[in-house]
Amino acid sequence: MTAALLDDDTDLLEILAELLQERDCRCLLARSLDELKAFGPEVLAADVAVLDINLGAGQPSGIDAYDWLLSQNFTGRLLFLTGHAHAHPLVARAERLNRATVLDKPLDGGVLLDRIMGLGVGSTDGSHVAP
Amino acid sequence: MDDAAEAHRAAVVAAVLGVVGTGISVFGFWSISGPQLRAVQAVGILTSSGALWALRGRWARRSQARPNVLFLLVLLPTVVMAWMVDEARATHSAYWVPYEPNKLSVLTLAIIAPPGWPIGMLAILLFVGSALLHHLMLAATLRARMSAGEPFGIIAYGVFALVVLGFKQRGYALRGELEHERAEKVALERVARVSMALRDLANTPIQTLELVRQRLLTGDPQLTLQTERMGRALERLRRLNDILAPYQSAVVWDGEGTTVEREILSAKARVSAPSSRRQF
Repeated sequence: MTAALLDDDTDLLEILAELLQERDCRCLLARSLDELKAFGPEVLAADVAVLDINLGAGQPSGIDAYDWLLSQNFTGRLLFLTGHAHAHPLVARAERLNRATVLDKPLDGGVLLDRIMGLGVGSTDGSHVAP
Repeated sequence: MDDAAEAHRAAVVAAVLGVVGTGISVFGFWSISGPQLRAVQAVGILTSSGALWALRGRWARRSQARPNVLFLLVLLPTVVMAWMVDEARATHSAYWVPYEPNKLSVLTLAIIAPPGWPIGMLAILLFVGSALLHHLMLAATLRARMSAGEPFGIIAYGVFALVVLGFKQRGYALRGELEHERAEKVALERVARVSMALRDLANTPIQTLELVRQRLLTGDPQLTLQTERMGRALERLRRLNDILAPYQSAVVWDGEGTTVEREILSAKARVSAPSSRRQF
């Protein structure tokens, strides 16, 4: 299994990747949309993409990454991971997207890993998972 | 507009009306006025003009006391002038409607009064009181030529003026309450924005620590004890979200994020580690 992870926090990316690797999941780490695009066909073939919604001031958001992935015919599951409030305009937009599930930070480590691995839940359904 | 600015506006209006009203009275009562009335009219115009000059500076808008003093000051020559005009009209006319300038003045003062009851009441009572005193001092022959109803006419005007003044003061009070509420709302919204932005920024490190805790779950009894402690501490941090959640509704989001949030994100970007594209 391959997971594409997009988050502007390097520590979060690395620890998440370490835990996923222990579950035999290969990870592609990106801190921005440009880095994600740089993976090219590799990222488009991933089974799941985990996208942080807010990637920093003035940077393309996780929603931009979502749009790009869909424009490239990405067929994997899509998960948004955010620490922002539900009322935040970007989160509100993400919640309206059909293909993605929104996960709230901070989520229990086991639950988060299960969601990424697609265990114990259905496919992407546009739902919201809170801690 | 605060109370000092309202007091300034009231004093300016009173002074302008003092100049205009006295100017009209000079022409209106020229045929019946003598040197004394003309002298008082001149003093009235000079006093009102002087008040306008004194009110032109920025300093005059800072305090409420100075404009209030000037508001009352411009009324003094007018009270004397109203007395003398009535006296002249009574002497020179076969019939006259008494205390007309006083009646007009009390209603006008109720409308233009500054914030606070004392100044408005004092101004109204000044004109009603002088009319009543004049009424008591009028000769019986003059009273006989007076239209019926006085002094109850001027008293009624005074009462109505006080009612109008009450509405005016209520308006000032409501305006003050509204401004207070608005200031509180703005302050609450700002606190809420900062709280929400900080909460959102804190969630990523908490998630990282939670995953680190997960990584440390190896079965080692010593590490298990530490990870349990860490888990409890993280749970307490997670509860911060629940505490801050109700404040979400106080935030008015402008576009993709609030100004405060953008400021905090910019600050965060400045202290973040450099970017790196990694493959695990």
